[in-house]
Amino acid sequence: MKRITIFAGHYGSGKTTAAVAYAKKLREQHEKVMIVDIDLINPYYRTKDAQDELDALGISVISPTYANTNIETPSIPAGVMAAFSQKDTYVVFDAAGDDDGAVVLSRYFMEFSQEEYDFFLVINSKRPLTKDKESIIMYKEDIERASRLRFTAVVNATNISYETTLSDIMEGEEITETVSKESGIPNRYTFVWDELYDSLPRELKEKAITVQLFHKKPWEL
Amino acid sequence: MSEKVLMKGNEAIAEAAIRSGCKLFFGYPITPQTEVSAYMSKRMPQVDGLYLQAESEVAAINMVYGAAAAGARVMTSSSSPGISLKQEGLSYIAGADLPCVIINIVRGGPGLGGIQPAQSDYFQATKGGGHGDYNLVVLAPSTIQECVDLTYKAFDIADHYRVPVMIMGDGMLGQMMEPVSFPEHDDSVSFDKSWACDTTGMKRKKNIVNSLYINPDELETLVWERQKRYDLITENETRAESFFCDDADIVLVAYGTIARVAMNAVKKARAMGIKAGLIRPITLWPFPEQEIADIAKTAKSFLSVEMSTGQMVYDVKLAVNGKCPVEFYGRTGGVVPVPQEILDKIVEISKKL
Repeated sequence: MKRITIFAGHYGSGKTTAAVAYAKKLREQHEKVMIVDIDLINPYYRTKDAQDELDALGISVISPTYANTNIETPSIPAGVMAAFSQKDTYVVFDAAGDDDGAVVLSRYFMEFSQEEYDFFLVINSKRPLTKDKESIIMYKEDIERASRLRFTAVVNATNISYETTLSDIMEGEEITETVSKESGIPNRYTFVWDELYDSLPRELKEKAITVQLFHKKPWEL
Repeated sequence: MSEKVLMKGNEAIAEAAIRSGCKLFFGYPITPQTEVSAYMSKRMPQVDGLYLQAESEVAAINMVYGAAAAGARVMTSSSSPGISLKQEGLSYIAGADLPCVIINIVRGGPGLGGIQPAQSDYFQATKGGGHGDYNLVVLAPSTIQECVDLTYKAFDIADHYRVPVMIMGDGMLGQMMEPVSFPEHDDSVSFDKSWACDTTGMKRKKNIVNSLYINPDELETLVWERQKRYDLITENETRAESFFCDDADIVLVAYGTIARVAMNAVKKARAMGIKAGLIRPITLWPFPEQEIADIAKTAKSFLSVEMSTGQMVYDVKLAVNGKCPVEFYGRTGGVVPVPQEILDKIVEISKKL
C-alpha cells in the first residue's frame, strides 16, 4: 500500500464507499491516515456522511467547506496540501466521478509526480454506462486525459446496493479482469459488502476489502 | 423485463424517457437534477436523438413548446428555481394543448433556497404556477423503479390527453441509487398527432398551434372543452396506494420518498398497538380525493406529512371534508424527517382519540 492512493471512476460506481473502506484498512497498519474528499460535483452522499465513524477511528477528513450544506461552492479546501507536505501520513483521495470529476486531480499533477502513488479505477459493472469492457476503457481513457495521471490498477466494486449477490460480484470480477488484461494494469482489490465476504471463493477473499454501507436512507433509520 | 442495474433517480428518469420514444431533450443544469441532463448528453447521440443545453430555463421550455408543436415526444428537466422560470412557457403549452413531460426534482426554497430535498413546490405544481385555467398532471414516484414506470406513463398520458405532465420528486429521489429494471416499453399504442405542425406535404391545409384567441366566446369554449379533458383525466388517471387503512384510526397521507419514511413510522406505531395507516397519493393532480373520502368514513384522524410548511394538507382537508380532524407534520428547508419524529406525532394524536 503506497502512501498516496487515489480512487476515481464513473460516478455512482462506489468510489466513496471503497475509499472509506480503504482508509479504514490503512488505519489498521498506520498511525496517521487522512481521507481527502475532492468531489466538487456530487451534492449528496459524500465522504462527510462517514465523518463520525472516521473521527472515532482517528482518520482525518478533509472535505470542501460547504459539503452537505445547502450551497455548492466548487472550491478545493486549502487543507489538501497537507496530503503532500505531511510525509508521515497515508492519504486516500476520493475524486468525483467521470472525467469532469477527475479534472481536480490534474490541479495536483506536480505534487503527485513527486512520489509513487496508487491510482485505482473503480469498476461497477452493474452501472448501465460501465457494463462492459469497451465502455469501462472509454471512461478510463477520459479520466486519464482529464487528470493527467495514469491508472496503476483496476479494482472491482461491482454492487447493486442491498440486492447485491455473489454472482453480481463474480460477473464484475470477470469484467474487471478483462479490463486489467486489455490495459495491462493489475486487478488489485475487490470491494465487497461485509455480509457477503464469507460466500466469496478463496482466491477472491485474498484480494477482498470489506465495505459497510454508510449512506443510510431516512426510512432505514 | 430487463436485467437489474444500479441507477440514480435522475438517470433512471432519463433512460425511461429515451425508452418511451423521447428523442429530444432541452435543459439547463441545476442541482439536484443535473444528472438528467448529464445522462441525456451521453445517451441521446447513441439513439440518434438530440440533447441540447439551452441558454436558460426559459429558452429550454420554449424549445419544448416548439418541438411538441411539431408532434415530437419531448422532455425538459429542472429543479425548483428553474421550474419557476418555466412557468410562462408551461402556461402557453397548456393553452396550445401540447403534450410534453417536465421533470421537477424539488429543492428547498423560496428563492435560491438550498440544494437539499424538499416538497415545497406542491402548490406551484398542482395549483398552476403559470396563469390561466389549466392543470398539470403531476406524478410523484417514491422509488427509483417507480421513476421508470411513471416516466413511461407520463408520455402516454401527455399524448393521449394532449396535456403537459410533470414528474415531481425531491432531491433525495433524484440523487439516491437503487436497483432498477426497465420493463419492455409498449410501443404498440399510437396517438393521433394529425394536429401537429410538421409538414403539409402540399396535401392538406396547414395546422396552427396557438394560445391566442381574439374572440372571448371562442376562448371560453376552448377553455371549457379543455376542462372536460381534465375531468376525464381525473376519472381515469387518479392513482393512490393505501396500506393498513381498513381498520386504521390514524391515517397518514404522504407522497414521494417521505411516504417511505411515513411507512416506517406506521409500522412502528402498529407494533406499539396504535392502529395507523398510510395513503400515498401517486398522482398529486388529480388528487385521490375519493380514496381519502372513503377512508374518512371510518378513520378518526388524518395526518399529512410533508417536507414543506403544509401544502398538500389543504387537499387532504378538502377530501376529508370535516369528517374528522386533519393534522400536519412537516420539515422544510432541506431537512428530511426521520421515522421517530413522525412516530412521536402519531403517538401524540393517539392520546387525543
